[in-house]
Amino acid sequence: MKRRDVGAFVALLTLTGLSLGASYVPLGAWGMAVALGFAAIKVSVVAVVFMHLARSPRAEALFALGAVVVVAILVLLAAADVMTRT
Amino acid sequence: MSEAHFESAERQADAARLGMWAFLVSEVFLFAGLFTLYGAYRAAWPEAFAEGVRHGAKMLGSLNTVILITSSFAVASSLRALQEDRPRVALRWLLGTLALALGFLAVKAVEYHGHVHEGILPGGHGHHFATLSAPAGQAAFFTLYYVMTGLHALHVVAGAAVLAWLAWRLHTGALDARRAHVLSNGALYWHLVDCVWIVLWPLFYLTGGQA
Repeated sequence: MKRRDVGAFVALLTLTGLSLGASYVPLGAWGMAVALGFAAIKVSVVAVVFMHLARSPRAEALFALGAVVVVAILVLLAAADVMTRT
Repeated sequence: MSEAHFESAERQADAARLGMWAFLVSEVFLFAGLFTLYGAYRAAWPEAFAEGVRHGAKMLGSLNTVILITSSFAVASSLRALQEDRPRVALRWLLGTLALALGFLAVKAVEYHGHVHEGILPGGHGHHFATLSAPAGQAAFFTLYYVMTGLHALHVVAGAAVLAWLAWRLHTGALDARRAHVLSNGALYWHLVDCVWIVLWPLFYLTGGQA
């Protein structure tokens, strides 16, 4: 057991608790943004600490980054379509 | 063992890890298509989706979030132990991870059973939808719920099988510190399963507010 892993574990549990708490606050349209913001931070913690992305060979980080970019293109173009339909 | 041989083993481990990352990226694309579909349908039926989330099993979903986060920590600890050449400790952490995976599936089974009992089935089938004046949006929500959480649950089953196989190899001594990258690849897959759930949790259990 390493302090780095324990720190990530405690951070993930804390973020989960905060996200659950925030879901009871009436945030209107911001509720989705807040919930996905917490999810993005948690995925980053898992990827960087547990999956060792920060210390892995550059090719692995490039694969992960490439996935993020391609998914962002998919989601943004789909959103542009859905939001501009009349 | 000659130094040249050692270098080649290092390369082999690097190649194996990169291959696993390529597989993980393809898994991300698989779920990204479904997340995009969710976004498009949620934009079409914002109120029905919020109503669907409020109808969901929030506490069971949240319990499963805690279970999977804990299991990620457990498998990371198992890998650390093996890298420090303590295979018995690694085996205990790995068995803990496996137990949490099975716990996740048990909670999921209770959750699905509850929904089926309420008359909520995929494709808008079941008596729950007959009580709604406009069932199309909620039918889309619960169909996506079954498809996305079901596909994720299949990944948990596959991950649990991999964890069990790794635990057996640790137990027999076939998996040792020199081959830690094999456990590392299994752990990477398990972390991805955790990451997918981290995104599914807000979409199906938390975002029930009026948009």
